[in-house]
Amino acid sequence: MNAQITDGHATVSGKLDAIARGEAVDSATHPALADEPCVLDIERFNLWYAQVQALYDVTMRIARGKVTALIGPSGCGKSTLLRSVNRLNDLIDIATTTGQMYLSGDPIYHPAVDVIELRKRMGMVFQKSNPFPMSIYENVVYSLRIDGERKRSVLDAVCEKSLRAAALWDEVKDRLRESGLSLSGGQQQRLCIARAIAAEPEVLLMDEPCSALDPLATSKIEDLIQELKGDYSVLIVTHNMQQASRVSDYTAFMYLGRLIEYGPTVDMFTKPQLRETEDYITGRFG
Amino acid sequence: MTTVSRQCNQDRGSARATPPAVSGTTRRKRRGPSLTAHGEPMVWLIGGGLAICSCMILALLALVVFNGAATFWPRAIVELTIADGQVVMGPVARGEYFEAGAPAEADVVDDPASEAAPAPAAASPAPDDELVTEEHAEAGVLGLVRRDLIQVGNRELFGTPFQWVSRASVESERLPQWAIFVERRTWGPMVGTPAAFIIDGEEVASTPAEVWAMFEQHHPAVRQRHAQRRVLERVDSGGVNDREEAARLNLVQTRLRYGTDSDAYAAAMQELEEVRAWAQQRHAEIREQIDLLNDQNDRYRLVTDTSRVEAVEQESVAWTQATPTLQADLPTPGGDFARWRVVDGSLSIRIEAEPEAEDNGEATLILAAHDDGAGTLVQTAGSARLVSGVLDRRGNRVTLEVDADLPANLPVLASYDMQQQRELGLDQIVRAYPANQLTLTRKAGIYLDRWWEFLTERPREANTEGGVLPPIVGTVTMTLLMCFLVVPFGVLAALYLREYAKAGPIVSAVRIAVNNLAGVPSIVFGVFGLGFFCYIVGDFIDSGPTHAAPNYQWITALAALVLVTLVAAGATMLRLRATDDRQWSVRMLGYVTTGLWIVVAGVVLWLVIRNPFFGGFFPAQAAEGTPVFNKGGVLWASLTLALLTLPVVIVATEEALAAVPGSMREGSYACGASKWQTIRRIVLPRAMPGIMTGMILAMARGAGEVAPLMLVGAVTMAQELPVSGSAPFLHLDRSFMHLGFHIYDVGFQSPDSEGAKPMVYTTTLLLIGIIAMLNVSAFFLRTRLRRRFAEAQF
Repeated sequence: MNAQITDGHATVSGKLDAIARGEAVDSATHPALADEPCVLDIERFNLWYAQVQALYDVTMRIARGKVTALIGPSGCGKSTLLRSVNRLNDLIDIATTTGQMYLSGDPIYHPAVDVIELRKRMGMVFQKSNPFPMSIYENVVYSLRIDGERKRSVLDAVCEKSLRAAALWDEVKDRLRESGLSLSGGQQQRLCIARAIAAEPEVLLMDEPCSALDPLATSKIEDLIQELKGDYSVLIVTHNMQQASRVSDYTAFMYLGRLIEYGPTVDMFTKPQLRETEDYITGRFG
Repeated sequence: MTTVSRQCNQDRGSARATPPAVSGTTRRKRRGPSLTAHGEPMVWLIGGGLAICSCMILALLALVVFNGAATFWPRAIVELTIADGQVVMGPVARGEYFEAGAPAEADVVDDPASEAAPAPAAASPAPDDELVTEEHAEAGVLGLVRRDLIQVGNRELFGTPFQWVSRASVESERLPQWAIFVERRTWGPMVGTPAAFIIDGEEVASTPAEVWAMFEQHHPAVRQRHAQRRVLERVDSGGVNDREEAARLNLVQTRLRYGTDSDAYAAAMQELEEVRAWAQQRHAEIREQIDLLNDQNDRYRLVTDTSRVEAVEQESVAWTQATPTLQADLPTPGGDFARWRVVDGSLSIRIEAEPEAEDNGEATLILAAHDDGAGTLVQTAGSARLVSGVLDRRGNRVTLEVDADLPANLPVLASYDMQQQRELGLDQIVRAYPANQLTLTRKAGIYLDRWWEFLTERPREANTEGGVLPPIVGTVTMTLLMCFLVVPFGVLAALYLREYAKAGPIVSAVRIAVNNLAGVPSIVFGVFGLGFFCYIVGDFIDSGPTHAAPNYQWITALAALVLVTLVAAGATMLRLRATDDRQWSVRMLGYVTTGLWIVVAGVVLWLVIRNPFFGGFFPAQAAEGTPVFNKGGVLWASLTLALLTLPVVIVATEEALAAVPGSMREGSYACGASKWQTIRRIVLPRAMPGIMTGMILAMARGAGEVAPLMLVGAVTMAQELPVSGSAPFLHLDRSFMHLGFHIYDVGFQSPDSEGAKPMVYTTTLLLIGIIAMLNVSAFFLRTRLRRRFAEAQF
């Protein structure tokens, strides 16, 4: 379909066909990324669910202190990639991987890696808010609790700091003992963010954090992501193109398990290198 | 297809506009909504099924609740005079209609005398019950006859405390003002009228009203002293006995261990002597206190008039002039004296004899014979000799030799009325009330008092009266103990099955086995519990291993165990170090580790059951043939029921664990929690309502189970409760009473099933109430916990 596109895009238009044929394709990574200090380095990462390959040779570097958005049509492997970063896919027996990822230089996929220690270096926010069946306070300090932290002062300080960072403190400071499930949907999601940043993670992984929220709550979360930027490196999966353009510094476009194009958000949304990216962003396919 | 539907639409449109003639045709075309399409019959079927089910359940509940709740309500005492002159007094227990002419009951037909008897009042002799005759007489007229079961009480006098009275034969009925209903500690209730009140042997009141006033004045104090006495007997005296028994067992144990020549034995013997002396002294003190209380209580006595005209014994007796003998099955003569009277003849014999006159003994009988028809006295005095039989309360056949001038071959209808006064110590009276004078408040008071007694007292009279405190305590203790045993095991098993075990044939097999366990007949668990817990484990606890290993062998095995344990621990450490599960060597190491630990467990088991250095915890009791754990007891019963209810807990817990959303687990893992941390902090709290539900279902199931308990520790009468105020407070070895087993025992094993019926209903009501309470509390607990975990909606 995209074969008869102008010269500039000719090599590119062949990509989707090549993917459809099952051939390996290189991803177009903008040179601007090379200058960024890197927090997470993904190298030729492949993932299979039993016989079905879900990720093909994904190679990308996530910039430290920046927000990186993963976009792409449903089933393109965004969430799988995200869950591979903190090895949540280990819970799925049939998942196998090749390739490597490095978190601040430390390998993630290695037999000697303690997965639990690894996960403590990352925070994750899920599509549907999942506060634990305990009080707001305990929800926030959960990761400290499982580390065996008992000092009241430490816990209190972390709780307040995290809730302030998640812009939830003013709303819940008087009812920290109430169940986390008593909050509204948007508050629950911010509670999950507070929980994720309580352990001072190096990377914050967000899997469509706003897809179950109304516009008002969504804008609050987006503001929050903006504020977290700098202190935390955020990797966010989103279906919402506007959201990606609003909150992220870098955007990666994935399609059928492959990274297609990856570059600064401004470039990606205004002058993408590939025709497919433009088509997807403008809503012509996908 | 489309054209047809369009056609229909057009028709429908036209039907509205056109006159009825046209609409008639269209109506035929579009048939009304199909019955089957709407599913109306299915709704009725389903609804009907539900209605039938609920009706059956409600009917059962209503029966139990009504009977159970009505049992303790004090009923009026009626006095019925029956056609033949018999007078029956007592509350009506229940009534029923029966077909009077039914030939099945006519066991008198073969009797030639019955055919010969002309008058309906005299009717034919019926060996078992004269009233049947009446009913036969009415049968042709009425068809259905109502008869009432009168609780006549006075079991020691009348033999049977209940009597059927056919309504057709009742001549008059009244409610005697001063009829009192007396609940006694022995012999069941008594029905009579107050005749006198005696204090210190002197009659202080003689009219019913006065007597009753005296009774009400003195009874509470007497009852309180009785309670004090019970405490003295049970607690104080029991404590002394316990100490004495402990010293004696210590002596036996010392003898078994060191022999009779040892110093230890002498010391133990001396200690026992001391304890015995102390106990004797203590017993004497307690006895003194009890005697004091008894003396005080014995001062007060209530005399009750329990006279009545007893069932008429009809005997066609052949009198011979030379040796006139009267032979009759006496119903129940007893008491002070009984008077025989010929109703439809000409003889009334008044017998004055001791009720327990000896067989063939000489007893002076005074005859008072008179002509009933004319009322003229024929003979006022004479003497008769008891020839054979015993004039006792069982009513054996008695032959009287009468040396009076009697006509030959006189057909005799003999009856006797018992005029007697019973003197009863106030101590013997639990409760008494003038049934026909009670106000509603008084009745309610008695009702509640009876319930209180039912819930807090021990049973009397072979469980048919008194309270059910021991069964309540036994049931609750056993059920709670069972809960403590079954819940940890069940939850652990379910956790492993659901969270850790990899799905495969073994897990499936385990699951199927667990579900099958729920279908095994409960008596099988009882048999297992008896064979394994009581006999094998109990024997081991009491007297140690039956086949102990030789010392050297056991010590060698112990050394081997230490070695294997060290190796296994090392292997485990290595296994924990290895992170890559996919390597072949790591997997093999895993298998080896598991195998080693299994070996360790096996060796430990062997070491325990063949331990030559363990002689049991209770060798003295075992040697004396009074085993402690080598018999049924509350611990074994709880363990057996724990096995029985294990599937309930496992299935409920597994379902609860499965219902914990995966997102919560993932959230926890993403926070860096390990699997166990996730289970402990997230999964278990979240699954708690479901686990609670399973636990309470198991409790309800266990509390209602009877069959296995009969084998492993439930008894019909336990002297001691499984919990007590003396150490160790919870007596795991004791037999116990159980409400379900109590129902069976009272309802089907007691000699007086009619008298026990109320107890059956009330006990059933209580058991159902307890189980319903457990279920309701489960429901509330679940809703409460659920609310805690409910997701807020915005």
